[in-house]
Amino acid sequence: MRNEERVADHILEALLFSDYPRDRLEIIAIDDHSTDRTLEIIEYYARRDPRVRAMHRGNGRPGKPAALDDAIATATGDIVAVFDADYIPGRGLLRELVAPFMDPAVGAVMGRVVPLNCGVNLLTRLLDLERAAGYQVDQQARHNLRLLPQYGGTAGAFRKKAYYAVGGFDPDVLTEDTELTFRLRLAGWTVMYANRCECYEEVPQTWRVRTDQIRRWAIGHTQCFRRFAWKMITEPGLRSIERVDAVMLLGIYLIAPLLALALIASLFLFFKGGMNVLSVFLITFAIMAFNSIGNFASFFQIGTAVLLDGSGDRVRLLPLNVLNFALSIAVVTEALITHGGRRLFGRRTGWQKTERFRS
Amino acid sequence: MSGTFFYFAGERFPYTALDFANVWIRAEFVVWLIIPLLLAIILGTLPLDPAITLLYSTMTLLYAFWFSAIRLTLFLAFFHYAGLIWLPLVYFLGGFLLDFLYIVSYYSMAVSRTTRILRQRREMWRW
Repeated sequence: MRNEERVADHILEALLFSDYPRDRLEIIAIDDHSTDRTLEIIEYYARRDPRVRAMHRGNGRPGKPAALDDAIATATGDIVAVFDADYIPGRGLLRELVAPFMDPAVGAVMGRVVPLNCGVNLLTRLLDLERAAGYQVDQQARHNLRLLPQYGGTAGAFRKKAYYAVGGFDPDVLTEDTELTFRLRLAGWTVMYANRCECYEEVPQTWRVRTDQIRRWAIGHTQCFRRFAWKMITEPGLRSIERVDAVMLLGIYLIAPLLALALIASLFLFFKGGMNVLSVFLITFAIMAFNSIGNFASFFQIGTAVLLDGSGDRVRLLPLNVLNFALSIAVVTEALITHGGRRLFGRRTGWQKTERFRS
Repeated sequence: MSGTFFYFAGERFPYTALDFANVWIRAEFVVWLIIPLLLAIILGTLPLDPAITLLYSTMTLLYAFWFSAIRLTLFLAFFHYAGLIWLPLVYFLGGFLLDFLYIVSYYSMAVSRTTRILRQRREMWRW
């Protein structure tokens, strides 16, 4: 937690309220270079309950992967569950989350994330739809088809033995969770999705914070694409469908610059006198269709998720999701170009903390 | 703005309103052909009565015909009064993007209705 005074006590209260056996639960609350009251709050809980241990990081490399590496080194259990500071796990979540580890082949388990502030404004409502699709359909389908659900870095758990077997988190990657998912799979571990393990989170309430989030995911995911796309294609023992899905999953953020390129090409042809550029537009439309009804079927996924959730009224906002879509194309394209430029000059793109809104 | 552009560089602008109308009709014709296929795929997965599926598909297609004609008329009138300089903007924002939006809108209405129907059928939710 870095500067999480707004939410720190909520997550700690929720974890202490868990019905997980007291003698088997160890809560390591990390204060990572905070300048507000976060450490004070953590220490209060550590004094109040022996299950809570405060870990203060004032030196060394800041950021979630480095902080988790430090904390896991001191953890005593076999299974490590990770929660970001803005998450609120339900009372029975930990029990449900660790149950799949009865299977010794399971390396990581991911739970379902549900926004708790979805009614705040249009953005949070749209993100609620997006999250429903991402978990209820995308992750669940990957689990059902024995593909690769993603360990999402929070509201999930992993086996400590598997974590060390693949070398722990890499602090140079912005999406350390996706990176860990692929390393676990390549090492032969199973990654599972448990839809019933619902955990509540705070989604971004402003477009600026949302933009930062997309930017980080785009860069991190593309870092993983470079590392794992070829390995997933050539790794023996994987099914063909698993290879194809993995490459598409890793390359999802590359669709945005491709779409941007198609639009620029269309504009160029337009001014060159080629308004009859139906073929170019059909390619653009085909890519849009790929995003609409294809593997990453954002709109179709949302419709299906809402249907499965049984709460249909919110789906009427679906057409407005095109705002999210347009924002993503612009932000992802900008982020990948900027990141590419930084890499060219040997500069690193750093971790950014997500702003909280809870009062 | 349009007047300034066409005063200095009018000969470099490669289109007329008639060109636009030609391309528009051809592009919209492709959309009309795609709509039944697209809706068959996305509505086919919903547990809806085939008659209702057909109703939503027909409604979308009829709306597509009507909206294409309305847009073309409005855009041509707009070019007449505001100038052809706006043609690229209209072409890129008023065409496929709006087609995509109303297709998604009809789909969301179908999903919303399906959810309401399913809520009344308790046996659907039993494991």
